[in-house]
Amino acid sequence: MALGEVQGHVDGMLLAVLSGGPLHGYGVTEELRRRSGGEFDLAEGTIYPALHRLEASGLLVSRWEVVGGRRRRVYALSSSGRRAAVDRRASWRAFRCAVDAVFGGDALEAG
Amino acid sequence: MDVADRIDAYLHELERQLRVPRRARRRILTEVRAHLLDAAEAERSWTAEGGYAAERAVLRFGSAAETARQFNHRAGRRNALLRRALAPSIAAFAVTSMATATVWAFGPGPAPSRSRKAPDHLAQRHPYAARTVEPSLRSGRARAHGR
Repeated sequence: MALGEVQGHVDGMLLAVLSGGPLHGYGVTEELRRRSGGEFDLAEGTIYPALHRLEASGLLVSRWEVVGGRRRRVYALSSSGRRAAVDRRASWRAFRCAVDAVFGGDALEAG
Repeated sequence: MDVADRIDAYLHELERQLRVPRRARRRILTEVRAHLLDAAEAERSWTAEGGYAAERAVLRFGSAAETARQFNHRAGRRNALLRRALAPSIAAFAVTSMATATVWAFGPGPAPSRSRKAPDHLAQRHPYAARTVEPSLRSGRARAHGR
């Protein structure tokens, strides 16, 4: 999938991935890849500025942890981050329904 | 080039291009290092060659220049916001300082002090006395001599 198509949704997707529980940066990219069935082939480095931005805006909290003998920054949703994840999911569903209606998926396939 | 060398070379290049405060830079480099080591380990499950695994991990991460650019952009925006927020306070401080300096430079001086230097004979007789005395404390003899 083209980077431009995904870019506007990176924040929402990061919040959605972290809804499943705390993860470090590499874990977030793995989970993104797994959930998208390998469709999102983002440069993995792009998630870190986004994670830092979400933390600065209070939607994420993070702390250092030693996992597998390696020091890692682990990210989790804050309480406002949990609310934001729910809001973004709802607005994405509304957007997806509207786009589906415009494209008229069934009619196109039938035609 | 082995895994550690390739990752260190990438981190060195990233550090060179980052324009963020030292503390943030340390955090970024620690996070990226852990990420690249994890990614290289995952790649090792596909290839026996460590250097190739590290190269793949670095490619997946993206160029150091692009990663640094995104962090620098974020830091630049934060600094701009901070400058914009502080600008009114700095301007108010500057105006107040200039006004105060002008008043001190051109305004009326302080009211003249009523205290005078102690007469010489008193200062000689009482070496521990203060150098200045109020007019009401002057001795009658000093007053009589018109000093």
